[in-house]
Amino acid sequence: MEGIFNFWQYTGFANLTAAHVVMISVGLLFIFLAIRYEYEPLLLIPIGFGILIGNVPFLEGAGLQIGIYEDGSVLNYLYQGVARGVYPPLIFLGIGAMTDFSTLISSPRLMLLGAAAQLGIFLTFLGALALGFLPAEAGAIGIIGGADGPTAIFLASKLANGLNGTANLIGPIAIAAYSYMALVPVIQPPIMRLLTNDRERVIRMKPPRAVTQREKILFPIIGLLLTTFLAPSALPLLGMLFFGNLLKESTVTNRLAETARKAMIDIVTILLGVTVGASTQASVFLTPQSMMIFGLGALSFVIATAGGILFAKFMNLFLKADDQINPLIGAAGVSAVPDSARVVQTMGLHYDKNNHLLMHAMAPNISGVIGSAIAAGILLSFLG
Amino acid sequence: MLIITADDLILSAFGYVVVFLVLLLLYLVFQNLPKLLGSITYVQDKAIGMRDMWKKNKTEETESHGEVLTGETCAAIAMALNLHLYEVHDEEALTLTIHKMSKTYSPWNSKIYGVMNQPKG
Repeated sequence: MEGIFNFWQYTGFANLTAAHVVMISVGLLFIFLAIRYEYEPLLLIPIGFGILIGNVPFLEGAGLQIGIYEDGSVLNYLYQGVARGVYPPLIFLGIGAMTDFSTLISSPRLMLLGAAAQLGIFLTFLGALALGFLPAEAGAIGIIGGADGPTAIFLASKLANGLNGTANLIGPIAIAAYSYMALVPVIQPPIMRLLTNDRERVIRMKPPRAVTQREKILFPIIGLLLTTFLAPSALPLLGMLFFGNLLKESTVTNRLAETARKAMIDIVTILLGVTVGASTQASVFLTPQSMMIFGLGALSFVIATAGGILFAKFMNLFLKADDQINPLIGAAGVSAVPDSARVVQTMGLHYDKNNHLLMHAMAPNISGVIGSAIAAGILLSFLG
Repeated sequence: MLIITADDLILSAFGYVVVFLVLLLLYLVFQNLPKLLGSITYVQDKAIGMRDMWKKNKTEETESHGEVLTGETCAAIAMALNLHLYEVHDEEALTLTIHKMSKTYSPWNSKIYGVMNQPKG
């Protein structure tokens, strides 16, 4: 009889709390959104299922070595890739190997939109400080405004990992960053409509010029040297991003580029998604701090989007009438690649069925990736 | 209670400015890169032209050696090569494949069928 009682003590039913139910519901919601509405399914399915895995109740402290925060558990080993910031640079390698920088090279002025959108990061940093977070925690929270999941995880693993006198905020920050990335089609359009008028939304931009192969090869080399000499802390991210791009553009390492952009990024995405999801164990995740992080993340995203759009309008003040920028593409300055560029394209077509903005929007989108990585490097060098 | 110090404000402003500066620098470099590459190509072309001219003077060969190929000439040569290499009609495979028709009906054999199936008296 005592054995049966012990068995019961170990079951999930005996250890179930309201917090577990809430988190399991969140996981189910993510899976539902991914399958029903196809909101970033490649991210939300692994994260959603990871949330389920991480919130199956068990008897904590019994030495079972099954929880993600228990030393020696398999999940804990996999989680080290997140906690020590290993996965994000590998993701960047894959992104570099799959991204065509042509639009950015052909219209370099659009890089400035990617810089402008990083406003969200630094204002949210101040907002987080105002809410009482420590400076290192505030820096990690601010980076959510970069709308770049790997960058957010990378910075959180360095600044708010629970080891340097800060709280462990990796889980909430990662979930917030990826959630808002998935919700780009919901969050951005109202801001875009609010900050632009009918005339601006139908501005047609000049088609980008053809880019030579030599320029494409030079871009990752020059890009790496220029950016990391000024912000060396961004080296793990930008180094891998530009390295991946050189693998692609050199055209002599196709096998490596193919592996980086397909098999490797898929494997890392699976591990990253599941472990980030599982790191939302109710006892660690459901705290007032997490709720504040979600609020600040949303605010950060809104500011970043607005920053890009308003800067595009500002640039138009100095541009000739036939060379204007459609301010909608400023929204793509956040680095949710290619989601926000797709949102811009959809919105552009909504107001003019023949105005395709995707190619133009990819430029600020990609420069947003570079900009947020630089911002992460700067925050790391100041607060790390 | 607000816990933002002057240092935090400076960090934010400085960080934002640095992000801007880095991307501005990239912008300036890549805005001017085509011109730079064009100049390098021009210098290379000129060097080739000079070398050919030198050869021409040296050996007194035909005048055409000293010319730098224009874009139109290059395009015409490329088009000719492309047509020659890819647009030439290939040799036929010379393999006959006989497909068995699932339904052998046609007006011709139906007529024969009609002739062969005379009503029996």
